[in-house]
Amino acid sequence: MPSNARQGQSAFTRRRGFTLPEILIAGGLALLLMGVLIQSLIPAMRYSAEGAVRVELQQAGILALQRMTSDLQKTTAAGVSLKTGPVDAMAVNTIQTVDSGGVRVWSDEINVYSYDPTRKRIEVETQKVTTPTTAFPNILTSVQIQSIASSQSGRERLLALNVDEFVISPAASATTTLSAQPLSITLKMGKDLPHTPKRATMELVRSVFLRNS
Amino acid sequence: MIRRGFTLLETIVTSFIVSMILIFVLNLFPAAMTAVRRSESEVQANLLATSLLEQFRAQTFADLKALPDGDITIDGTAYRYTTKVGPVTDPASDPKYLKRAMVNVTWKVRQLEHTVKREIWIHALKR
Repeated sequence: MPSNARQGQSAFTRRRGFTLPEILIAGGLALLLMGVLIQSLIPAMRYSAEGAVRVELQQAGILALQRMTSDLQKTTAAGVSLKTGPVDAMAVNTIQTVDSGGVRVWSDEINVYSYDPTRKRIEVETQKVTTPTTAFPNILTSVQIQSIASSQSGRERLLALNVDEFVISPAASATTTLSAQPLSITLKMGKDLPHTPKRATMELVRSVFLRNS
Repeated sequence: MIRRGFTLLETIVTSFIVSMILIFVLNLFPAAMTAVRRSESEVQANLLATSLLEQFRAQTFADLKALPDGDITIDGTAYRYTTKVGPVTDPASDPKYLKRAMVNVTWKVRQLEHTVKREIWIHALKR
């Protein structure tokens, strides 16, 4: 009988929940551990944010380069005019078609690619040639390119954002024209990363061979 | 004894499982970063290879020859390139009129070597 009574009593006392201090301590410990875990995850999250920005920069740069190279592959060295000095602008006149006699027909439009250093972007503006010739390439002088590049006509279209530097080489002088040669385009992209003083940068270089004939 | 805690064995097994899961999850983050770096460098290597192929277009067909091997560092990654000029794979073609230029770019991401191979065919026919 006494053993039975003890069993009944112990069965009653065995079923007890957590006490308040136990819950508090357990909850506090869980929070502390989560804090430590999240701390260790923050650098990883920063890395992934940086990776996303770098991919974005690279894609924007590649697209701009592709647009320019596809134009440059449709022309010859005579159809390309560069701004003198630090070359951050060029004008490209492309071959529109070849007529039935096998003669080239040059487009009466010129695409002017230029860099806007204040807004850090590359723009393209299509200009109608005032006295169009279809038998010869239409070129612009350095002064004309510069005035188109610096004007805000509203016709310019955005090619790439976040551009720190845009350089075309080799540099051309005002008198000499380009000959058949590889033209190299360098794009330096850069963007500030959120919540850090760091800056993501990306350099892209692409050469295109300009045909002579 | 009615109030018994976990045994030592149970605790060890539990903490082992928990730490295994943690290690697995934490390892995913640097792997993602490496993947980003790899794809980034692959795009750079492709740009470099295409730019090098343009150098072959600049040569006259008769003097077509390989460029000197070179190293170039872009965005902190070192790329090594080699080029070759030879006949095309089709044995029926005449190397007097048709050649191919090959570019090989190799680089390393975290000790792992990667390669990009590109080629163009260049002909001596009048356009």
